[in-house]
Amino acid sequence: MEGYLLAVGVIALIYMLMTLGLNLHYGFTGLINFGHVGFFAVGAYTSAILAVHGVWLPLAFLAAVVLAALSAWPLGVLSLRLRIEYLAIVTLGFSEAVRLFIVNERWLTNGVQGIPGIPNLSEGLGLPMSATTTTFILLVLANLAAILVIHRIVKSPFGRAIEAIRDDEEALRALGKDPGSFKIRVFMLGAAFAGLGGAFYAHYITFVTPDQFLPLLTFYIWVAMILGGAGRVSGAAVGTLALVGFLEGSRFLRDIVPGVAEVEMASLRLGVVGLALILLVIYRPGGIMGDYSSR
Amino acid sequence: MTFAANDISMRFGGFLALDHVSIEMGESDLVGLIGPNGAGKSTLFAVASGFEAASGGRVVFKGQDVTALSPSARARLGLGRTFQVPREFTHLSVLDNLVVAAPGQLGERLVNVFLRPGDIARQRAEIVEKAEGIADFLNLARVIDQPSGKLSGGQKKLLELGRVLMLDPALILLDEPFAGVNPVLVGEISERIGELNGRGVGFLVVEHNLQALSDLVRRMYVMDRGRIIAEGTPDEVLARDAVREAYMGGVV
Amino acid sequence: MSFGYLLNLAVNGAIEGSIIALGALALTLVFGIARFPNASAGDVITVGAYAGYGGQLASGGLMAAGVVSGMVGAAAISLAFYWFVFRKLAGRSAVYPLIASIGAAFLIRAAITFFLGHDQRVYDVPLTRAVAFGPVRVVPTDLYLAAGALAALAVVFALLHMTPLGRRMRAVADNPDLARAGGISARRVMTAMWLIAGAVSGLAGVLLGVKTVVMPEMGWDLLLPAFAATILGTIGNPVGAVVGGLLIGIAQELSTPFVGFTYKIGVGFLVLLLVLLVRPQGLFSGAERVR
Repeated sequence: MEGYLLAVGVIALIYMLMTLGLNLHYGFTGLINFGHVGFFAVGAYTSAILAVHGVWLPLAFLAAVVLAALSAWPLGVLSLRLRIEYLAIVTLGFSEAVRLFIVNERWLTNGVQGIPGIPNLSEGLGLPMSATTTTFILLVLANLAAILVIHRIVKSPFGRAIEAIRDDEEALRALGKDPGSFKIRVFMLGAAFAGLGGAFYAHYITFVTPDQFLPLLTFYIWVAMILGGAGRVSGAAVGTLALVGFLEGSRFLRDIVPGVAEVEMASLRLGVVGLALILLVIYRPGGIMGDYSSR
Repeated sequence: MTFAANDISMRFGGFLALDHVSIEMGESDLVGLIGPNGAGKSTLFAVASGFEAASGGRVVFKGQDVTALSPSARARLGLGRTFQVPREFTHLSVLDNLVVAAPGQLGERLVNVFLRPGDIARQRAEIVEKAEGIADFLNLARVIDQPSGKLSGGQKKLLELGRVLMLDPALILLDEPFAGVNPVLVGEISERIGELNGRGVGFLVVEHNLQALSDLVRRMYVMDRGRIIAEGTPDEVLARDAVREAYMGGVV
Repeated sequence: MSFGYLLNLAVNGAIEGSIIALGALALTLVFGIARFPNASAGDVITVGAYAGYGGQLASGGLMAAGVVSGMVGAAAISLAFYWFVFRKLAGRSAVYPLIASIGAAFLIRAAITFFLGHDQRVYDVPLTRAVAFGPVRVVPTDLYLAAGALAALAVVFALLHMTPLGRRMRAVADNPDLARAGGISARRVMTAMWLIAGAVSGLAGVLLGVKTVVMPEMGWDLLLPAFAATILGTIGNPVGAVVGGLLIGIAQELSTPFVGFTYKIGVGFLVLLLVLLVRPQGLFSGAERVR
């Protein structure tokens, strides 16, 4: 049982890193990022490729985070010039472009067949505990660090400026500040968190394929963020736990209700995520903890 | 001469919104800009503040040609503006609205957020003191911790003014400061503008409330259909036939 | 690479482009009148494909029945989501209906895969051999497709420009306050708009299903090229949507020898990006500000 809970915990904490990043983008700065899984993929594949070629794990992780952040830079630049709805479409295209790249550049990524044999964290760091335990502990530390970092940032003048951008970008411009450089930095920072999550994911699952990085995951994270309360750090944590609780709960449901195939379960999950997005937006856009409008 | 719009023209497709408009202001000048709806006042403000690029003409501020400068660059030089419909940062408190406007904040660089917390805290104390001073001056001290979205229309207008004051501007383009504000507050706002002007801040005020404006400004420009049709003291200008005619067809 | 080869690519691209044009037309109607990017448009197209397939099957192989049921099915779904979801979000920022439309897309996809599975289905269309027009070889079915698409486009244009309803729709597109003010007239305009957008998407689905295969992801794959076409042709401009669709289709096909098949889908995205960077107001904007 603890093994199972640890495993669920690992996934929850990986998603939580992603949600923390997305919350910076949308909850605090108002940037609509529909391509978050793209940063996750960049982080996962970067670490996987480097580790499989023998690079020391901490370095591989660092490279994953840095590359994920860099991949966000062009999107940051685009966000200066694009209206919010256009940015949404473009970011969606970005994550699909990343996936197409992974599929196509077989020399680097092994295409649709994916990269097997990624060293897990116990192996890679030479630690005696089980892989799941090691990953869990490191993820807890990573999330704590992430939360501290984000907390410091949102309380700072930088944090106030990005919230001002969310509320009224043009008004901030009239006050002598350029929203542009803030948006770029926020995009890169949020992407870095997603990239870190990706690296953890790759070394936990030990096998990455392009099919693991579909837009569906981006919108899982959107549900988590809105469900918990966008623009609130506690919201990101609560929402992720609620989301993972639901996803795992649906697995149990399958055991209780006989005759439901895994494929059908996947459809149901997709449908519930869709329904959740609709209901949240109509009836409770503030989520469980309340969003930025009730802080 | 602190501010000049020289021969500004603005064309939208086939429509000429501004037709060779020229305006001049000296230091600490307190000037009004009136005209019926559609005269081009908002367009002129947009060009002056950098939110629109004119089709022709130059904007000069403090001896510098700022025509090519962005709105934020102009604000940094000391040319501030408010908006006709207040654009407060809705989910930020009144205090935070003021604080975020302060220029030159170390804490806007991420490196500093983590490496220089002490300096940032010290700077914050200074900024908060200044913000509280401005809030007091504008009679917003009572609501300083409230989310700005919850303020009344008049209070939001005062907050707009307060925010731009954090920049220590030399000139403020005030867009309809009295619109939608109850008469008592109009008097209060007018007094504040007067006081600030006494301290050296210049104002170019667009307004429809001709009475309140005449009591406030020393000089007025009148626009109609993209052109300046009159200039002078409020009494002079409002007595002119051309000005009355322009308003007969429009909403006063 | 001969001229004939390129010409063939271009012609095929134009045919694909006419289907993209239908998708873009539906998008531009919603974008221009309801003022948000509708991410469920792709999956409504998929509904049309499946409904059409079912209609053809039920009628014993009649293509006409397929077309009608495809258009009706998609129009119904489109209207249903307007009625139960998007109507409740009117007046709020475009972010909310945008997110809700993602939810709608997922819901539709989930329903399709749950009840109908992931298997590909094929319309009952006779196999025909390509016919040569000079250096260009075209399959007759494709010509019917393009003709069908263009006919539908012509009908929509006639509707928009020659009927009182169309005039009202264009008025709402020009003036968002009319939509926000609510009332019977606004409700009718919206209902009509969502029905038309749905029907057009349904036709796109049927044509796409005939040209390729019917599968759950088919509409979603069309979404990015359709968005690119909409923005290229200036949002709210139906002619622009069609021109944009044709251009995107041709660009996609012409790029295939250079970038390969996988990236072909990415070409739509690339064009979208370039348009947004260079001329975000699209090819057909007049004196209006950049939207």
